[in-house]
Amino acid sequence: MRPRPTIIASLTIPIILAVAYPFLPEYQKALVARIMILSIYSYGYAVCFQMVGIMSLGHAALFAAGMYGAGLYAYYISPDPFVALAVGVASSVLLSMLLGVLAMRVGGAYLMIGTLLASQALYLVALHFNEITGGEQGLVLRGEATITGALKPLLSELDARYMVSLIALTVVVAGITILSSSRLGRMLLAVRDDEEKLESLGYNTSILKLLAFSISGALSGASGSLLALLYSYVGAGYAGVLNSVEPVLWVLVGGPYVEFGPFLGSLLVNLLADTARGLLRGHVLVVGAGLVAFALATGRLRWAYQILGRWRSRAA
Amino acid sequence: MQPRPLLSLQDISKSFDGVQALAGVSLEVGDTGILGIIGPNGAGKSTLAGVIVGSLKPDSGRIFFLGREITGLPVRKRARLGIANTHQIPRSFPSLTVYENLELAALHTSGKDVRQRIIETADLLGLQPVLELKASQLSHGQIRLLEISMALISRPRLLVMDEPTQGLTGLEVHTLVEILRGLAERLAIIIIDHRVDFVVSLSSRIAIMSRGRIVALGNARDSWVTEKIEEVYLRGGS
Amino acid sequence: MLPLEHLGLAVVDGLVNGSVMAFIALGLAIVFGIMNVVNLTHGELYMLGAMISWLMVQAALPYASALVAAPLLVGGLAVAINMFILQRFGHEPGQTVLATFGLLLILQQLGLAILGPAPRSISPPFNPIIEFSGFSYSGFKLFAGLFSLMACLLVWLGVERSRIGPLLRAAQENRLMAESLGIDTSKVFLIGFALAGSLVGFAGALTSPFRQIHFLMGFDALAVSFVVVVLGGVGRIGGTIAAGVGLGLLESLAALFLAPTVARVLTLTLALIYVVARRLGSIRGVWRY
Repeated sequence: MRPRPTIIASLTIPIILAVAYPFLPEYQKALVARIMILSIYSYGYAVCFQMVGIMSLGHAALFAAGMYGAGLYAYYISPDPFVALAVGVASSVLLSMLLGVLAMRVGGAYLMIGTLLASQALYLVALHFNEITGGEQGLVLRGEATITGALKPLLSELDARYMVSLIALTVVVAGITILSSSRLGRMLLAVRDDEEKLESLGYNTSILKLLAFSISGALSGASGSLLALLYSYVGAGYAGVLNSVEPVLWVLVGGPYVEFGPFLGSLLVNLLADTARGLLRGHVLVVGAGLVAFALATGRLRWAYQILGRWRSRAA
Repeated sequence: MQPRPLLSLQDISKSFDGVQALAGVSLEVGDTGILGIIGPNGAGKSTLAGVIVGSLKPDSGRIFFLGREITGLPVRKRARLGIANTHQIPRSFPSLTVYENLELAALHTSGKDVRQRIIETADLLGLQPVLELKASQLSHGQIRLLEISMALISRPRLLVMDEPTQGLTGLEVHTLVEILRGLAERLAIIIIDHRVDFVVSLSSRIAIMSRGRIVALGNARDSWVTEKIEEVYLRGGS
Repeated sequence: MLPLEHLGLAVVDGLVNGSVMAFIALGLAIVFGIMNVVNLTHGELYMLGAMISWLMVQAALPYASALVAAPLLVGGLAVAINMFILQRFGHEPGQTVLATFGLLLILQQLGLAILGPAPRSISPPFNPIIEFSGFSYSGFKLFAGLFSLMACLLVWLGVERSRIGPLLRAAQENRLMAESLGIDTSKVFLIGFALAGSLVGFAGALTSPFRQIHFLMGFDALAVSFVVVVLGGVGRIGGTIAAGVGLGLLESLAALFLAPTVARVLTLTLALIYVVARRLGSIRGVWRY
């Protein structure tokens, strides 16, 4: 009913990226490939934050669950990258269902604190088992255990990263477009707008929130798995706080359209961070300053306020 | 009264932080007609509505609907049994269009042609011209009408309305009265409002509340009603 | 099966660590617990307190001067954060989380720039070894523990008994109402942030001689402070103190059998179970803040 982008329209971004590929210099190819993978995480966060209005501060745990699920499987059990990808996504879906209990039962500031504590706990677990996980140093996967390795006869490493990321991004964007224009998508928006009202119309909003959290987990985990299997590396750094809060900024920078925003946001922030990489850990400063700037500007951005303003205390 | 009332409250009590909001309220509601509940501020009217809808749990007492006990049922299960409500400050889903709002409200009910029913309901309440607008673009009165439409589209057996005239213009109140009169032939409506004249003119039965109790209950046309109202508002009020 | 002296050491160490944890969380108990502001920079303020202490000792200034400078500087920073950022959008929860998370990252980088990536340490100004029956304990740590506990109790009494407590609560609960009663809420927030910031800055300086001073130390402090405040019952300073001491003792006893990281994971899990079981922040599905 609303003017929502059709699937074709929302696929503009993947199409542009496909067409642009032959013209991009090496360095930019590598950068864009990485951003495409990370933007899948951004879409995953958007399902939670933008579509259903749950502000999680612990999504890095879901990202890392995918990364470790895929990475550890490929490293220790069987060097089959495609099974590893499935294992990665499955493990983050499992974790997201566990954490989803928080989203179902806890609200407001406590949900943010809860997700923050949960991801810190999982980060500590990853560090504790550093003989298996490699801790902060991480593990390097052998060639045949990765997607780039499996595609070696066909494509160069850079081409493989770009192509696989592009295919994954296309699938995700199409899926998100279908979801946001579906009945389920509207139910999720209704949860965001007024959970109690939706409940009084006979809906079980807890289940809806759990479902959204699981979809979000699947996408975050897919992003983490693909990163591990395309870049042959898993490490606890990805389970840390920075990785939890980055997608918040991506989604906010990206703007109100859930079909394009998460990609555009992660593109902009990462390009900016990339130009600042000469500074001492410039990336972190860009994200930090971006968050503060957004907080100050939110009053003037109606759509962002619609999401962020919902925690205002209701006068009795 | 019929042998089995649609809704029956038995000795309901509820207190907040030691303040008694409901002190042993019993009430029966039949299949059709409008029950108006009036009383001064703090008499317990909104608490009573919350207890019926399920957003508040009574401390003691039991509630029956369609002959089955619903005391422990959550809001959403009561909604599915046929209890709909509207809020003092009307609520809708601002990011969705009017049509989508109605569609969500209709989803949980049987009946195939949802689209047809949405259009009929919108027609009834004059929302036809704004169907494609987002709820956030509506006026206060239109949101009120949208909320009522959302309640009606699920074909409830009982509609609980908390202060339905608040924020409405005189004309809108007039329209509302016409609509409610028509509806009352098909379903039971409970109206809580501080506008005594509005409630008395509309209702078939009147319950007067004071300090958490129903102090009088009877036919709205009876002459005692006016006397009792004066008594409660002038002397028994908070 | 367990040597008694190990148990004794664990109890003393647990009580000391617990008191320190409570002291670190005290500022958050005021800002989040009473005033409902989710201040994610709390841990970084703690790190800055420790960093200032390290800087002053590096500059050959006496350790005691850090105990004065850290609360002043960190308190000032907290006030500035409140005035120039959080106040601008009326402490709206969503925006507050964004802004303080951004500041967390920035302050962390400040710590990295000054401290460098490796952990630093300073030696305590005095450190007599205290002999208990069967084990000995660092005199300075014991002093810091006792001092923390005293400070906690003092602040508790101060906030509950004076006009400050009710004022802080009123400003949070209904800003308009408070304003109409003639309370200048911006002044109340100023007091709250100044108090919280200087307390946690002091805690940073106080604990710096026996903790690793590292640019990432803040996040752990933040997580633990949230756990302590939430488990103690939000808004109840006495509860925060009890939860801090209790958790410290529990972690210390658990560490007799488990690795300290595992003990910390258990603490976090405990807090999560509590939050879920009590359905905090969610009343019948209403988003309550």
